[in-house]
Amino acid sequence: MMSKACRSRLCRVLSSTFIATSLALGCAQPSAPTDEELALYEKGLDRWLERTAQLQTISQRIRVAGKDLCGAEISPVLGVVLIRVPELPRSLREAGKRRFGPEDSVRVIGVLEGFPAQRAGLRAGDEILGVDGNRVVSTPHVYGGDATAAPKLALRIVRGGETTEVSVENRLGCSYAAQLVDSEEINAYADGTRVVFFNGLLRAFVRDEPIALVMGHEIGHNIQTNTTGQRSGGVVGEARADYIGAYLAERAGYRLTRGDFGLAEIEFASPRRLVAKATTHPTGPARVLAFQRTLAEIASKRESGEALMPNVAAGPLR
Amino acid sequence: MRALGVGTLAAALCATACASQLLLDPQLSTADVAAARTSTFGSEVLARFRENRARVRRVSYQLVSRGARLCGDFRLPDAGMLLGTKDSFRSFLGGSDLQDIANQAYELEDGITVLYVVPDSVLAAHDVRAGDVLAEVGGQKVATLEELNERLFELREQPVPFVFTRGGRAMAVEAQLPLVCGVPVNYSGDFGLMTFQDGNTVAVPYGMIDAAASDDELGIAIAHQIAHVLVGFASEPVPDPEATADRVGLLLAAEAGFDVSGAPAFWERLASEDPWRIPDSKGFQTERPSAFLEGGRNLYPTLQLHVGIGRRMPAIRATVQEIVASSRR
Repeated sequence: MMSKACRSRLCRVLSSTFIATSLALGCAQPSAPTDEELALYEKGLDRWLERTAQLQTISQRIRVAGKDLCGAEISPVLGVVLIRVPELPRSLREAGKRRFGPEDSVRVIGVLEGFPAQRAGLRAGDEILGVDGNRVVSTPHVYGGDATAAPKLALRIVRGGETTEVSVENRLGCSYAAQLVDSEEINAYADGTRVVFFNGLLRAFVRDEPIALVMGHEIGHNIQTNTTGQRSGGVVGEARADYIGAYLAERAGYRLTRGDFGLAEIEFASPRRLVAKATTHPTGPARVLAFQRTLAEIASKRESGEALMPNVAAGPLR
Repeated sequence: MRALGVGTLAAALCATACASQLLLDPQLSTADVAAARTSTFGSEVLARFRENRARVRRVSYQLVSRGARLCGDFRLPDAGMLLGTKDSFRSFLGGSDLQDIANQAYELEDGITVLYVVPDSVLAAHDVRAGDVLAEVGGQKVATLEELNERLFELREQPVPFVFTRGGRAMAVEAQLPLVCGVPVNYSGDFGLMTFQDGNTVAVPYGMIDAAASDDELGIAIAHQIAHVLVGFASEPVPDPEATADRVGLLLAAEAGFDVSGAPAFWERLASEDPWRIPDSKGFQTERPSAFLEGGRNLYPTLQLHVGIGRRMPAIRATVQEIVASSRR
């Protein structure tokens, strides 16, 4: 594609540049992290924790708001944001150890306003050892445990080096907890038990409302799976997930507008979604039209004081 | 036919109460889809696809044309446009076949259609517009982009006669095309964050369109990959390709008129999104989210040390300071 003469001339252009660079860098060998690297890891950890807090806030508010639609798939929703160093993305674990300590315990980094943990005085820095007599070894144990009828749960925690017990209200909600995974892809999925969000989606959507809509959508898939007993795919499954999702987000206090249909943004961005012959995410335009109608339906129910209940006369949710 | 009729009627009469019925009835939702294809929303989707491609073309054209000096002899003539045919959007760098969406977005007919003209370019000055069809170059008919590029290369560094057709009428234009850095840059449309390259061509994913807050940032990200391609063509092995691409990329972006003073903050922001890029790595490139797979990850072996962004930041800052200082003189 290029002649040798061309290459050597190009090389002259480059050689003056990389001589300067080599002088600047010295010998490139792997070595102890520099201050610059450490600062970058701190920023990366900050960002990961912010995203974790955003995702868990949206997730737990929606799980509580959707409780009556989840049937038997419910669990305590305490309103805590947790971290556990081994569950951090691999590249952030050293920074996590520097910030939180070397142990792999489950630590509270935040509490949701008005939720049981906050009301019981739980706070950032507490370590959770057990919930309701069950030992806790990972964050999913706390985000979704077994549902009981008891009005209160006993939490065994470590605070300031001392083990103590805190009693929290046993507030129940959908058991479909959210998990954040470290991938730049703009995507999320439901697997019948939980919902999984890729970091890239939170990066691209930024605001709570479009993320809440996707959260509701994915929980909507899990609701369909566990109610109808089969994978809720295809045009109808996606339409139902959109519909339920809008209701769940609105019930949880996220006021949606047409622009929040972030899934549509992704249709804009990735023409692949439009051409995909598979039934996973079918043609965009119809879904946005349907979303607008759903918003209008919800608005009219708010106006008339009706409960925000998705119309289930056709039967899929019962 | 009956289902279509019911669907259209229901859509016409549909007050809010119908919404759930509409959504839950598969027959009606199929009709909805058919009706929606011609809706204004459908054209919004396609417009955004065109905009993203145009933005990538405009920014990369500025880089390769105004930064051409840094590419030495490695230059090719560039018409400063986006062109397309009914075959030119098939699988690209392992991505999908975008031909269907391109056919809709641009209403492609037979022949080479002008999809976008970069505002400052030579052909823009001759009033060539999106929608025109490129019929002849240098007195010969051209039907594919490969034929066009060969013809333009043969006729480089001299005035070239073009014939465009617009609404059935022929327009003759004579123009000498500038020689620009010979590195094609394309919008790949996938969801990855970082621009990437395969040794010859640079790809810009949706994630970067979304993450680059300004044309300066987009220019910096594209210039880095153009620099990688140039470095790859050097006849001697380069000891530190990443650091070299950092420096050459910044010099290229600055030469092309982009403001690189925000480059350190930009790379820091991207590094905080992808902390696996921060450390050096050797032996295996760690958990690189695949640009080609949706949601997939792959590990690929690398024989040499890959210097992570963490250790490259001081040199990046130094290069930026050098550039800013010299632009003040």
